[in-house]
Amino acid sequence: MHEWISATVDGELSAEEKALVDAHLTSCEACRTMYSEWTELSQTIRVDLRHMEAPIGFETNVMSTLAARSKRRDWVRVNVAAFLLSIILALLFTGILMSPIARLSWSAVHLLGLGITTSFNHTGLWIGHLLPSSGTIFMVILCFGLTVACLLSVVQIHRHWRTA
Amino acid sequence: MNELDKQIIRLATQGDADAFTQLVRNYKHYVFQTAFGILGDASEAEDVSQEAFLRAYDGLQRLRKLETFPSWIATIATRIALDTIRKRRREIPVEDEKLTDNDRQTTNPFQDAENRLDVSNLLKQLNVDERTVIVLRELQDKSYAEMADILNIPIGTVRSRLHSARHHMRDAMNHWNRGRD
Repeated sequence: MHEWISATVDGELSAEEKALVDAHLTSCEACRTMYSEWTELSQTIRVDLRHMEAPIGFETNVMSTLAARSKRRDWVRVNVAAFLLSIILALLFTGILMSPIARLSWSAVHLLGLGITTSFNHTGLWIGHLLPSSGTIFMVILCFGLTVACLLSVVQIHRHWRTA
Repeated sequence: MNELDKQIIRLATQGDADAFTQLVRNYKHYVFQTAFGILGDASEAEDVSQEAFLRAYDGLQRLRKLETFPSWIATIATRIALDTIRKRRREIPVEDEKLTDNDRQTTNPFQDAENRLDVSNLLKQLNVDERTVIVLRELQDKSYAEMADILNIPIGTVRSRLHSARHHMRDAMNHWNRGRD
């Protein structure tokens, strides 16, 4: 019955249940007292809880946290984008270097170099061997640079998450 | 909720920072009251309220009915407050959440409040489950069905928790009244 009285305070009983509680309350003084105390208590809590106030400067704190968080998110976005871009470029150049077309190109460059070498041998000027080796060094440096960029991005992101 | 409130919420959902600031200003007390009612600690309640607004900011665009904003943010605050308590329990096993009747009787909820009926002292007489249903009912005006949905418990459990909370608060008040006489 006490649970039903509590539910009566909240207006959560069906019409039939409420009729039973009402009938009981007319004959039981202890339950009537309980009902009136609980109703008063409910009212007191409603009023008192609504009097509590958030600390002064609360909205300023929320907005500055939002601004800082937005800045942090932008930083992460840029770094993740740079990291992904480095990986894509590294894969792209590796793919180019490994692809049959690239090999054919290298062969063509070799043949071209050989041709240039042969022709310039007759004239005494020999620069053919420089063509493929300078291209290879450039590609190696590029791949190395991209790998370092990837690693730096990973380290930076890791450090950022640790401090956050 | 009046048209001006709706307009502020609408602007905030469109990313207007000033409107969101106004929204925080309008609902900060309500959100804080919810968090404080459940947690019973002002500092934790401030953190929870702040987190509730940050999450609201992220989720505002998904809010379909503008007029449900107060209820929506109060539910967010309730869930964060309950998560905070769970986290707190994992870090430090808290014994006061399992208050025995003896504990409740030996502590006078009003002794530090200059004999004034103080709701925060009264709520401290309850365990977390009881405090939560009281806050949802008395502050947020939730029905039993809504409370059951938010807390993921049967309606019968909501009813018995509310009854138990009222029973314990009434005992505390009677204890206090006897102490005054």
